[in-house]
Amino acid sequence: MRDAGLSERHKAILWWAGLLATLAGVAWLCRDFRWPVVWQSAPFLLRGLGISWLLTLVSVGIGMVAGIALAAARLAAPPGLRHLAVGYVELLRAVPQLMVIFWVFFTWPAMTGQALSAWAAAIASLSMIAAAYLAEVVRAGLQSVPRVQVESGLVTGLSHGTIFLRVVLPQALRNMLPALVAHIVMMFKITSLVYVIGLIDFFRAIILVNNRDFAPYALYTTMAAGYFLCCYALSWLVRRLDPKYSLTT
Amino acid sequence: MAEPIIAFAGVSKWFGKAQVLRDIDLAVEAGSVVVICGPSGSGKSTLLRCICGLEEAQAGSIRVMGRQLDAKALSDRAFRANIGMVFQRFSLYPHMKVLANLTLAPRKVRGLSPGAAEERARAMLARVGLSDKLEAWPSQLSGGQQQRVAIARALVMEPRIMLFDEPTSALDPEMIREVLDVMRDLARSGMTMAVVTHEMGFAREAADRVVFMDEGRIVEQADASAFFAQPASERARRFLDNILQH
Repeated sequence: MRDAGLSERHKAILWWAGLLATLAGVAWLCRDFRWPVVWQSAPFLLRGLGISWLLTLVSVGIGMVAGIALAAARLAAPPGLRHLAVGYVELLRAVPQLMVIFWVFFTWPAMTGQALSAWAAAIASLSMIAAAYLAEVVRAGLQSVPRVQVESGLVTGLSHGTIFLRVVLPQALRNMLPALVAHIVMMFKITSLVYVIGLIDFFRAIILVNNRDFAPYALYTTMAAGYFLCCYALSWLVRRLDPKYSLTT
Repeated sequence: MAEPIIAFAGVSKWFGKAQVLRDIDLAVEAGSVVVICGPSGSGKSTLLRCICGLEEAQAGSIRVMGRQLDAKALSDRAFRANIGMVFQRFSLYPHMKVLANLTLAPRKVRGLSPGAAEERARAMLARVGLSDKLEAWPSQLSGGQQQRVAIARALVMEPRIMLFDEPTSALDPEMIREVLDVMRDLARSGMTMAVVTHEMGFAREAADRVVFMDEGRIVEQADASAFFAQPASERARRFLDNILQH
């Protein structure tokens, strides 16, 4: 396509030049912010960022396994179990996420008499939230797999379990990848809510440093950049899991 | 005389209120090839799907390989694997290479070792003329090649009956022949086959019996030569005229 004006190479050069110019412009605009505050608190902020990552990965991990079970129950379980799964998913998606965190942290001790650490409450509540949202993502993925794939397994004598794990689920996971990326990114941002039960994640760390040193412009710019880079990295990571085979047959 | 390998007696089936099979009686002898034809919606596919247990009849009895096709028989997975089925399209597992497509069921259902399963897979791929595609992804194959792999995937289970549900209907005209050649070869080897198809050339050449269906009924069944020479029913005559003339 030489006659289209610019070659791919030139377009790439222009794209990078534009990006660098924009970044340089933003940096110039931000030059008077109190950046030393950020450098001095870097270890504290990074620790917060680490906690955000840890909470995201653990809750998405647990939530994914539970979400697959919930989706399978919603699609194939006998009525009682199916209604339980539907009820759970609808309830957890209908209430504020902050409320779930509060509820787990305060209600569990009230019901059992056992105190729950902030860590345990955070992981439990975030996993519960992730499970509800991911269950719907998984359900859409499972339903996207053509019925004939299941039938092909049945007529060769495969068990329902084998068909689910070896035939349907791998294809479903691939089909749901874009929605999965969106929800994992959402979970990363939701982790910022755990400040209400005293955990110091990235969001809370920024707020604390700002309360002490008051450098809101530098700190909030750092927060924006931190969340953007992490969420972008997350979606890049998940997209890299995309297997190489093609589904178009 | 030996019991037919497939025997329907008074079989009826409804989807909701619509009756799709009406009082079907059918006997297929072991080693014979039966072509089931008829207009769309006549119940051909449903009939075929009843043989392999993908659909359940609501009245009448179905016996396959001497066994009543009830819930107990259908939960016997080794028994089900004796009935191979080839679908119209999209039946290969797209996330597995050809080899894995062919070895999954032999390992899980027949309990073969990976080595033995692979050996059998290679033999069947050779039989359908695709020895070089062992490591290919389904998406890298043409439609005709995909159907041949689907046939090989059914054959590795060493079934006693092979069912074909419009195996060439979704194919480009150029690819139909390679699939029909494999099926003709299979018919010559003495496999019991029930084939739903509009390929009357194949039926004329390879079929022993032809079953003509319309509106859920078997209107006519006859030896293939007799059927093509002169169908007994007016409905079958019209059907043949229509599809042979276009």
